[in-house]
Amino acid sequence: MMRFAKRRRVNLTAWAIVVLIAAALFAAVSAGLTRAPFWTGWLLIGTVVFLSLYSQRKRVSMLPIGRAAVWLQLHAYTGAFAIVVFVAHTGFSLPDAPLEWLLWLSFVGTAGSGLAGLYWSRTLPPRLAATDEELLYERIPMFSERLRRRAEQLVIAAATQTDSVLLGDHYRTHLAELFMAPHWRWRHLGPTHYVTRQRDRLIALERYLSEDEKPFARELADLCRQKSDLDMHYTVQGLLKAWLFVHVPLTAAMLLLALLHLVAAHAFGGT
Amino acid sequence: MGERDVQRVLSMEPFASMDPSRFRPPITLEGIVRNDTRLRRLTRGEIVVRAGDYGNSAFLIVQGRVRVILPPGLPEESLGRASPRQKNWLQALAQLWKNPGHPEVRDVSRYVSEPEKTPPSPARLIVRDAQGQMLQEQILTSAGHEGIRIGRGADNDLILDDSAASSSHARLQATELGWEIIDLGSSNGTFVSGERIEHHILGGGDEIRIGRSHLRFVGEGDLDQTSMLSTRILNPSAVDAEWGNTVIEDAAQAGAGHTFVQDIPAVLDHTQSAVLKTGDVFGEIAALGRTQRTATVFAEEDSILLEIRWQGLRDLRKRDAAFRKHVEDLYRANSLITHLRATPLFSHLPDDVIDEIARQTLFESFGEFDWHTSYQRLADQPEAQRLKIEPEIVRAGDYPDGLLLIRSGFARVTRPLHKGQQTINYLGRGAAFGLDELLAGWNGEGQSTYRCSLRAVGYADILRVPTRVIETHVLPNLTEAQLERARQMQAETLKDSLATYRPGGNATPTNALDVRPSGDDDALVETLVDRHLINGRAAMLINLDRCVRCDACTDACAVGHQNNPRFNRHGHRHDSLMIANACMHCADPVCMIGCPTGAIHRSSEQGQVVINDDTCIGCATCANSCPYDNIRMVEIRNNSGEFVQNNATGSPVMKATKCDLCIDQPGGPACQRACPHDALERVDMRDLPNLLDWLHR
Repeated sequence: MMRFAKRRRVNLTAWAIVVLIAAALFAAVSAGLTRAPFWTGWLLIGTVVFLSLYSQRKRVSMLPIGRAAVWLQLHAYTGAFAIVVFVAHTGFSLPDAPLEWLLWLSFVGTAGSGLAGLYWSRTLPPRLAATDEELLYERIPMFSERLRRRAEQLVIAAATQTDSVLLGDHYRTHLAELFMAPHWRWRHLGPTHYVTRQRDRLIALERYLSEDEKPFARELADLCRQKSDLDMHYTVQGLLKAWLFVHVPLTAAMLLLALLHLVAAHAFGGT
Repeated sequence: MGERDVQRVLSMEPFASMDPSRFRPPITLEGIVRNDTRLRRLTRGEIVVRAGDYGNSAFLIVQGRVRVILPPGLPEESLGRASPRQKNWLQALAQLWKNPGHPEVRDVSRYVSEPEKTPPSPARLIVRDAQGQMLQEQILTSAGHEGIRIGRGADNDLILDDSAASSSHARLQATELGWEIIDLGSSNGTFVSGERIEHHILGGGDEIRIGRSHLRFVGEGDLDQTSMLSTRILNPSAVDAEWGNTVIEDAAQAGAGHTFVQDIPAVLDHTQSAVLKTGDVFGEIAALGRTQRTATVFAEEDSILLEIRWQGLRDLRKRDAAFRKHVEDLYRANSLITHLRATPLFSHLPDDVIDEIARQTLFESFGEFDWHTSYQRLADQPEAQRLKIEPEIVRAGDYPDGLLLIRSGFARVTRPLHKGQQTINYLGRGAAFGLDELLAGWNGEGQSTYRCSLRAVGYADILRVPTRVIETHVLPNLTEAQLERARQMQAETLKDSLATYRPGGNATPTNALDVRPSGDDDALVETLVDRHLINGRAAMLINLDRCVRCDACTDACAVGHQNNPRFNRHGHRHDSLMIANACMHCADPVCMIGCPTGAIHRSSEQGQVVINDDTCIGCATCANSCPYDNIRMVEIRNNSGEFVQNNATGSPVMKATKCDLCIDQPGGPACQRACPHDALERVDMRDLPNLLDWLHR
């Protein structure tokens, strides 16, 4: 079984060779009388069409046409190749017409979202795996509601059993919003200071609590941690799904614009 | 079983020859017969065991005759199994638009006609007087809702000239379960096989007493007309019913499906078979070793069989020397020599030496055969407690008194580490243990002792070839090359062990046990053994460090199964590894034990454990037996999306469902192929290096 590191080296080497061959061909074509942008344009649209096949592959998972993982590798490296071809095609220059601007932006958006998606796909799953619970995205609101009820029952129990409202006040002031619903928080993509802050507050509060109240405070702190994990799953899993809602429509728009661009280039671009 | 039947069984061979004093309370011989056996009535053509089923009981022919179909046996379809045909590309693609919109839709027209619509077969009622003289014979047909009225009055269909009978005494009614006799509030009562009844489904040969008249019920159902795949209720049969009314099918099977050989003469013409008659015992080797049945057996005529479950067999074998010898001789004659020949150390030996080794080999069983019933309780025990419960086969430091061959089950290899035991490997069927130590002793390399302990995980059947036999018959006859190969045998065993595993590198068997524990992998192997996950041949492992939770695996599975995913992306976790709730297609598939119709079976093609939906009767035996919760019971719908109901009870019709490894799809398991991030793999857990290689990619 080939290790990922070795596979990466092999794939990068193959990719570099293909890029070098393409660059050599591009140089040869540019040196001749043929207009290079026509060739790079056709190459670019070909690679983009090939890239778009990947989403079709996902739909026909029942056919034995290679593992999706192999297709994703092809998709990623072909995408990187498309960026090189795109640069060659545009010649580092910005567009000068509305259609070209739209096409340029859709390509950059597609490539950018693809790179971001790839980065998140490789870096975010370990964050999910680090939590105690494996959560299904669709069930997160249900779990969140369950946690909110548990937290509120805990605070009410603390108030009735200890005859103190301090924990209840703290919950209303600082924690009620946390437990209200699943929250999409960008901070979960970075270090999770938020939950630490909430727990620190509860620990700080302990000095004012009676011995009877302290177990309630500790359990509440544990619920804070669970809710933070829940929000982190909500954010990270949501992001891992959401980026495709940018990438796929942009690809479709880019293909449509590329077709228009192709027709316009051949109709008005001369020979 | 009733008292009368228990006493009758005890008076039969081999029980009559057994010494009851060898059976000490609480396990008495009578108790074994009472609790671990049952009488089964079989009608002509009914299949007793199917080749390929997992054995958990043996049979003694009490009355009648059965046929053993010798290999290659009957086609799978005849046994109530139907491995789905693999779809071609177009059919596979068409699933995208042909899959139904509702979950768990079945084409119910595929199922044979509803049993409740099938009238019982015609039968006869023979009336005798108190002296046994035949007075009249009545043919029973299912015509009419009133049934057949019996009594002294002139308005009855069957008039008894018997002053002890009431004028309207009883009625015979055709029901979907067969012929039922109903007492109509008679003064002196209606008796079937000596017991007073209010209503009773009659079996062939039942003796009915009304007043002083004796009526004998004789079924005449033409079983050969029964569909081979039907799941109808058995009709009564015409066996000689000297046996009491405890001649029954199992409670779980009463009303359950049975499979019949349809055209018996044709089967006998086209297959090789052997006859077993009254007094013969069959099925004990498969039952004691929980191995697959090697042949199909069916009743050639209406018969009564005593089914002895494995617990009873085990106790009989333990306490009765003759029975033990009988079973061991059978195993030696039929299986052991094949097993020894397949063992590399013995493969070169001449026949007479193999025979001698077979004669000297000892059989040992460790652990609980039905480990799956206590699986959850044991899995939650602390490790030290678990190890105490696991029976020790050999202990590190003991004198090596033999070469141990694992015949069935699993064993864990542990070595002492500080105050505890570290699991360094697990062994399954066919593995050998202890050769290294035997070689060291034979070569005079000092006092040799076992370096590792061996414990049964769940249960393990061991063949112990005594050291003396190895030193006398095996080691002296080895050439240098064979000796070198033998030396490497233990290393080959350890090749798969954690002790020698190096990510991406070759195993280094030499001094394998001297290496230090490797941290995370240690804990993983302990978990796999503790949770008995080593049983999996195609366990679904998900690397949570790579899984983006896109559910491409679930979606792909659903497309291949009519929009019903056959696994849960959830399950036991160990660090970032998840063993998902998907059928593992186990090496020891305990789910197959007790399936009354053989619907769950191992595919003859690649060994997948699959369920034949047509013959599954929804009894949930498999789902309850699976210790990993990987089989789900579902309520099925028809093509209109309506739940299918049992017409008799009104309850929803259930079916067992599970992963079938996409047996009918052109590309194999869709879940694995659909994962874009190399996060999901179907792994044979017996291949530890492959598993660790995958984890450490």
